[in-house]
Amino acid sequence: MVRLALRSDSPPDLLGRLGATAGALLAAGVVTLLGGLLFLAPTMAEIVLLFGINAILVIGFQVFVGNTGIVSFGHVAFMAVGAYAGGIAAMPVLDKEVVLPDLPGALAGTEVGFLPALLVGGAAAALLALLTGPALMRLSGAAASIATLGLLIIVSNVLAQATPLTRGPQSLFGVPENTTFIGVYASLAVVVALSAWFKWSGAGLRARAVRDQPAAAEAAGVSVLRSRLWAFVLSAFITGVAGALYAQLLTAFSPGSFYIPQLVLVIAMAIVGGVGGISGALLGTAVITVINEVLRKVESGVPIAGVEIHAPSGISFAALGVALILMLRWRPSGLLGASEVQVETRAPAPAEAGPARVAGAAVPPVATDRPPAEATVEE
Amino acid sequence: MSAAPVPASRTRSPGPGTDAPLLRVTGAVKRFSGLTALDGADLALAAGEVLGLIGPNGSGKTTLVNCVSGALRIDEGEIRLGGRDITRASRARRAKSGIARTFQNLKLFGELTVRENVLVGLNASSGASSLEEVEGLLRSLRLEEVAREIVSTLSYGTQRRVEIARALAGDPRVLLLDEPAAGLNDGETAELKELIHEIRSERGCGVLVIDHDMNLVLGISDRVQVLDEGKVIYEGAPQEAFKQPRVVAAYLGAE
Ligand SMILES: Nc1ncnc2c1ncn2[C@@H]1O[C@H](COP(=O)(O)OP(=O)(O)OP(=O)(O)O)[C@@H](O)[C@H]1O
Ligand SMILES: [Mg+2]
Repeated sequence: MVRLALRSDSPPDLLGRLGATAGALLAAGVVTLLGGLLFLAPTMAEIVLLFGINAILVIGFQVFVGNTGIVSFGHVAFMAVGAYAGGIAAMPVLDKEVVLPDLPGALAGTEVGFLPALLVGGAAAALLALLTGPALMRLSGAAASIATLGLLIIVSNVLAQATPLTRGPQSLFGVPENTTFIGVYASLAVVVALSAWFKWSGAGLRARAVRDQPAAAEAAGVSVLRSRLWAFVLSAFITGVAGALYAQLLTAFSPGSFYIPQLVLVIAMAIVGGVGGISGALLGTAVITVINEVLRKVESGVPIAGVEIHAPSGISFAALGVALILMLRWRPSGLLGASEVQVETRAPAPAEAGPARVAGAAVPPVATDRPPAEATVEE
Repeated sequence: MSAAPVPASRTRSPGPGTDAPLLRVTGAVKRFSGLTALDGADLALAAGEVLGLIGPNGSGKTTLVNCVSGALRIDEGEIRLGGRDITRASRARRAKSGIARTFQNLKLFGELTVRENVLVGLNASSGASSLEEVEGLLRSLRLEEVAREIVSTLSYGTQRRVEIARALAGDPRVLLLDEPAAGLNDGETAELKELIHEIRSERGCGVLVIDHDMNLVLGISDRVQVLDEGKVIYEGAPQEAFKQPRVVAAYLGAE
């Protein structure tokens, strides 16, 4: 017998880990299905792609923040590095001669396809995390958060000054538009599986132990620095992939595209959904995207009873702030908290020993109140 | 509780009777900006022995445990485990070489479940322990019912047992219990007593017990050591401790 559960504790064995990963993938599948339906409407295409990219971004953020408890203000820096590295790698050689004439030889002479560009973006961001992590991950609490903000400021300024590589503060253009629906949502599936596997691995458990009680984790032989570093590097990789997808969707961007507004967006999505879990990251991204798009529509004017109603411009951004405050007041752990959709297998009772099948696969996850609470759909 | 034995897997070096004790601290000095918390304290703990460490509030008991577990470094002196010098070893190294502890103020991984807490403890083991052993531990500490509960939602007495289970999961050679009976009721304290006996007899651990419950400490210890202002003022048989004028004076002076 197989059933679907929403719970926050680690599955007890390898089979359970596979089930938990499958559960997260199922949640991603529901999101993909909805996205696919909307994608058919031409005006929605870009929104659906941006949504998928944001979901990857928020999951990248969640892998670090959820497992280590350190609120990062720096993840947009990894997105920026992923976008520039992936974008430059994907740009055709002929375009590079025009757009980036001063690019060093090796970079100027190569161009790669969509998938390698994603890996280049992810790897560049992971490398940055690996280099800065040993210093940053020694800090805890507010000091760590502010240090990650410092990382964002430094990276943003370096990108704005490294003119031969980035065109400085001006827009980098000429990145091929390779990002497709399949590209985004297949990446999302891989990223969801990767982060679920990490969360339920020994490394993820150690990171959460350090999050809750560093002294006790060290007394059990856990290295605070190393456990945080793995989460940091993996989350940077995922965030970098999101950046490379973004670059190949928009085709033109500047260092300013990856700054405070983008940071606020990611934080709002993560907090609304629940920073503790992957399922929450998906839900939060969906909720904020819908609110954002509806308000943006109203900003540009909607006819109500024959009269064009215009909301004051900027209201969609202000709404993010309101959503954040409301969540932190009423539901600080987010809509889903640390709970995850998990597929659980149970030894079948003798009477109903039939072929196992996934029960209620299309039933959307149900929010629970407390982490130990469990909502199940059983057949 | 005695129905399910506490599982142990690591093959033990010879127990008491061999000349070198399992854990030996010599001349430990620890200063906190002006205050000398440990002032040349010694400690010897043999495998399979229960040593009671008592002394008035602020006498340096927890500091000594912190220095042995590696949470603090001693300023002078030496710490040896199984003959190896671990004075400068990191906390993680000490954990992996078999030193486990509990904390005076519970330090559990609050958002994790009972089983996850114990699984983290497994990290300190030398590799011999397995997942089955974790299940065995949960059973023998009567935690299997609550294994999937978030630990911060459980009663204080249960949380104390989780902390001991977590320490045992690493299959330690030396177990340091800092006031394990604090906050427990009489029934729970009796249960703890039995548990410490089992740990000693079935795992062959050296167990150091700090507590202010003299009935408990004097009742379960093979030997006691009394600390006062960072110095050892008595070491020997439990029944004799409070016949020493110095010990009585230390406790009265602390009133
Ligand atoms: N991290 C620290 N920084 C400064 N002083 C400390 C620190 N830890 C302990 N002390 C001081 O060292 C002395 C010994 O403290 P310790 O906690 O070891 O006593 P204890 O014997 O465990 O007392 P109790 O029975 O109250 O637990 C106390 O005076 C305490 O204030
Ligand atoms: Mg103490």
